[in-house]
This record gives sequence, structure tokens and C-alpha cells, in this order.
Amino acid sequence: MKDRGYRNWAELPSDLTSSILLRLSVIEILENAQKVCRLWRRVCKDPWMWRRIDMRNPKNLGGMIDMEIICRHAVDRSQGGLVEIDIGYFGTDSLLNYMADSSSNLRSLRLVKCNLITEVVKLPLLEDLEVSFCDLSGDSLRVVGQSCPNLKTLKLNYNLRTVCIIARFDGIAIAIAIAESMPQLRHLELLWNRLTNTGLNAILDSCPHLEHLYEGYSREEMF
Amino acid sequence: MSSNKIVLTSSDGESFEVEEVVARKLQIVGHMLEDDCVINEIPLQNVTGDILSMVIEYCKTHVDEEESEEAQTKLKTWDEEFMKKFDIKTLLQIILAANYLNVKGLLDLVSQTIADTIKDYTPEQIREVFGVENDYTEEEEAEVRKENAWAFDEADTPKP
Repeated sequence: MKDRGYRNWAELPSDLTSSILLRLSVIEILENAQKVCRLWRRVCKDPWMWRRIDMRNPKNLGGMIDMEIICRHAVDRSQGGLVEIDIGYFGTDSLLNYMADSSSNLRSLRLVKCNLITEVVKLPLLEDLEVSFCDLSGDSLRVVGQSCPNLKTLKLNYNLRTVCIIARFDGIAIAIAIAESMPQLRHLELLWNRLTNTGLNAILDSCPHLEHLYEGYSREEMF
Repeated sequence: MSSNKIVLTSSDGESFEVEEVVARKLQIVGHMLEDDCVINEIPLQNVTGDILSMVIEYCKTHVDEEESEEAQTKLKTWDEEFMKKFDIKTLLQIILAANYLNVKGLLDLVSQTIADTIKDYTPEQIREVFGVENDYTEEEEAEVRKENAWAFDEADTPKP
């Protein structure tokens, strides 16, 4: 009987290698997988592998790794094909601008605990945005809305401490900014935003496509 | 759904009689049945009996995929236990079979299981565990090692 035991990875078609390596984190790909052999390196350089980038940066990585440089490198590898990206704990305005300049196909952006002042960034096709614990002001949010005319889903999550402490936090300004700059919204989630009736009415009047609005408290500060 | 039985035959001549609903989880079989609905024996040339039996076990378990959270959790636990039974070499054979037979759920499950194993290893360990040949020349390997060093802890390497 023919022995069909596969002992060598080389017998896997390269799309199966892709299907496996696609499930590794950016760090695991750059640090380990691409160093294994030529085939793995070729797979790891394929822009298709970088359409979705998950850089939520688990806290235990510490300061050994420069996440922003790695993220820029990951964006470069997508060669403009980036569709979805999650950034946690290290994003800055300059990183966002860098990404926006080369990623006009981006549909989904998730920013958690990033250091943003924002001038955001033209993302013409962006549909899905989460900004959590980044303390965006109403003015900044308006710029976001104007830069992302196709925005359909917005999740804003403010930190309780920020809401209490930071003087510039103004729930009504945020609601008005949403109302004035994001008329295409279908889904809106506001956590810790002290949405008043005035704010709520402004949003309901200006976003005729809204199907789902959730306002409440964030369960915890986490992913 | 009818309880029509289909016989699946492996490359080494082993036959498995399964319910049509189970056989249809193998999309390659599903397509054959659509083309000609009177088939009741299907030869599968690229998979051996031992591997086919595992694929069938997966398909039987996943034959009614209920939406409820409880059912999903139960299936997930079953999947984890199922994967624990296999060594790396068998996992590579199952992923090839899942690809050939076109069983998407199993393909995803095995891909994830193998990826989870890779996560813990250095490049050298990966080569050893998965039987991947290092086809880099020494120069190339040195180059590859250097390539992303700027991003990781080599403080003396200039950043681009």
C-alpha cells in the first residue's frame, strides 16, 4: 500500500500554509514564521496576508518592541490592500496619517487607548470605527466624521476617570459633532458619554438611517 | 432530509457508509450529488481510510450546527478534545484531506490548531517539529535575521 504520510510541510499547497500563517500575530510572523524557510517568507510577504492587521498589543510585551514601527511595516506589507486594523496602546496621529496615506481601502478601524489629538486623516471608505479610551473631544470627532463620509458604525468608549476629570470632556459637544458630521450612521454605541436628551435628539434628527443606538456604561476597561 | 445512505471509499479501499446529510458536509461530495443524484458510492482518491474516518467523525458531530450558545460551546469543547488526539504529522494529513474534501469548518479548526502550536516556537523549533526544510543559504539566513531587527530590542541598530 502506498504510504501517504506527509512528513514534510513542503507537501502542503502554499494556500494552506497561508491559511495557517494568517492566524499568527504580526510579531509572530516577523519574529519567527518568516525566518523558517523561503516558502514561509514568500507567504509572509504576500500583501494578501496583511489585509487584516491585529495589533492590539498585549500588555505583557513590555517596552522591548517598538510597536509603532512594526505597525508601519505591517501597513507597508499590505501594499494598499489593508481592510481592517486593530490598534491598542500605541497608536498616534502620525501613525494614523501614515496608514491613511497608503490605505484608501480601509473599512474597519479600531483604536483602543491610543494617544490621539487628531487631525484625523482621510479614510474615504471607512465604515466601521471604534475609539475606546482615547479621549477624543467633540471637535476632533467632527473632523473624524468629515474625513470618513461612509461611516456606518461608530463605537465610542470613554473612560470614567476621564469623563470626571478632564475639563474638555463635553458630552453634548460629542453628540452634536456626531449629529453634524456622521449622517450615514446605522449603528452607534456610546459608553460613558452622559448623553442628554438634547444630545440624543440631535443625533436622532440628523442620522435618519440609525438602526441601533446603545448608550450605557462600559463593563470594564478592557478589550 | 432523507436518510439516504452514501458509501465513501478511501484511496486504500476502505468503505464508510454514512447518512447523506453527513456526506454532504464534504463539499466535494455535495457537488457530486448535485450533478447526479443517483450516486450512492463515491470513491475519494486522495484520502486514506484512517484520515477519512476522522473527517467523517468531525462531520457527524457537526451535522446539525445549532445556533444556541450552549450548543456552540459544547461543539467548541468537542473540537478542542478532538484536536488533542492528533500529533503534528496527522494534523498535516487532516488539513490536506479537509482541503481536498472541502470541509471548511475542519480546515479552519486544523489551521488554527497548527497556528497555535507554531506560536510557541522559535524558527529552529518550527523546522524541527513540522519537518520544514531550511532552504536558506547562510548568507540569506543572516540577512533574514537582520531584516526586522530594528523593530525588536536591538537598540544599536539604526531605525529606518
